[in-house]
Amino acid sequence: MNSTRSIARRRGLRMAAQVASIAGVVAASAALSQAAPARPATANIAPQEGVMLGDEGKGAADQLGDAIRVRNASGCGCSPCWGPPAPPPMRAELLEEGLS
Amino acid sequence: MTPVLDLRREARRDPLEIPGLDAIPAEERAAALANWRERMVSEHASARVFAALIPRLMAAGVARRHVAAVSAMIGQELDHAVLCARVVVALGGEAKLPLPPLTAVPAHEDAGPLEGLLRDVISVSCCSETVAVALVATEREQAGTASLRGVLGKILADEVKHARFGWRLLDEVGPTLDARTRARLSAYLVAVFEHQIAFHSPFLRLPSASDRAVSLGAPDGPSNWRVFVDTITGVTIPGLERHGLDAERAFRRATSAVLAA
Ligand SMILES: [Fe+2]
Ligand SMILES: [Fe+2]
Repeated sequence: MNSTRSIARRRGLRMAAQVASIAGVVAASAALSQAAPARPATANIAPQEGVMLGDEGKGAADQLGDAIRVRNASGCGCSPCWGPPAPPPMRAELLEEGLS
Repeated sequence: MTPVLDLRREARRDPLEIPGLDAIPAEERAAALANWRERMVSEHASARVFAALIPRLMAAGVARRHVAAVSAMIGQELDHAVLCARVVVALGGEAKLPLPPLTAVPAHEDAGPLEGLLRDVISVSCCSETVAVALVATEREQAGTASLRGVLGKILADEVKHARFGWRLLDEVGPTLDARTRARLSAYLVAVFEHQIAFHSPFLRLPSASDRAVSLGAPDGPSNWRVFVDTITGVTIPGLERHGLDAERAFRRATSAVLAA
């Protein structure tokens, strides 16, 4: 993916982080992703680090995307929109699991 | 009968101009138009989600300013639909479309008023609207004309309020939650993350788009997917962890079935 898009994404992410008042976390994570070599991220995200934001290596988005693509190859071809969908209902087994 | 959203009159009242359209290939214009049409109906339909929050806010006894803020959000989403309709017409489309299925907001009968409210707020503000901020801000950076940048800027200013509302409410009531409520909310996060992944996964089936197409609002599937995952893992999860919710574990649980396959 080209660098114009990477820069745009990074600015978008920074704005979301400011909204959630965790700008420091994303800034630190962005600096980290530029300095550190590629490493897998999805399964072991440290909350204080966030995820890699650079284009190098296979980050959380690529890993998860590959897995979902394999499981779910067809679709309507529509793009997900910005309007929030209705929240999901709770599942009883999640409560049992979470409280045990 | 499927309800139809007809915003032709509203769009005509204040027409938008997008200069230079003739120079853009028809298929790229069509991809942008299809996206703005879907946005038009999805923004309109999302007004009902905020409307459903009003009785929840009242039942939970939160401050009046929160009720007033959320009631304003209903109108803001309806206005976003009109803004999208103006782009649809400028791109040569018709601002009249069937509404998508209007899934009901769950009653959360197994939870008390505050916990039920926080479930909704985490899903709507801390996930969906926080991702929307990142997506709209990213697209605004790449907008090809001042008119589109203006539309995206107006929408973004409101989406920031919609996301911030949830984070502020969590800041306010988070410290009062007992350990059991935190554990119950952490359990709900698994359902939230599964739902977020399912909702955004259609990005994976969309191709990449040229800079020119993106500058009009055509979706770039791989880039948008990345914005979604980076926002959830880099913003939402640390933000929820800060409030004592086990968001990291919930995300791992939500993704484990997919990643193990
Ligand atoms: Fe909106
Ligand atoms: Fe919104």
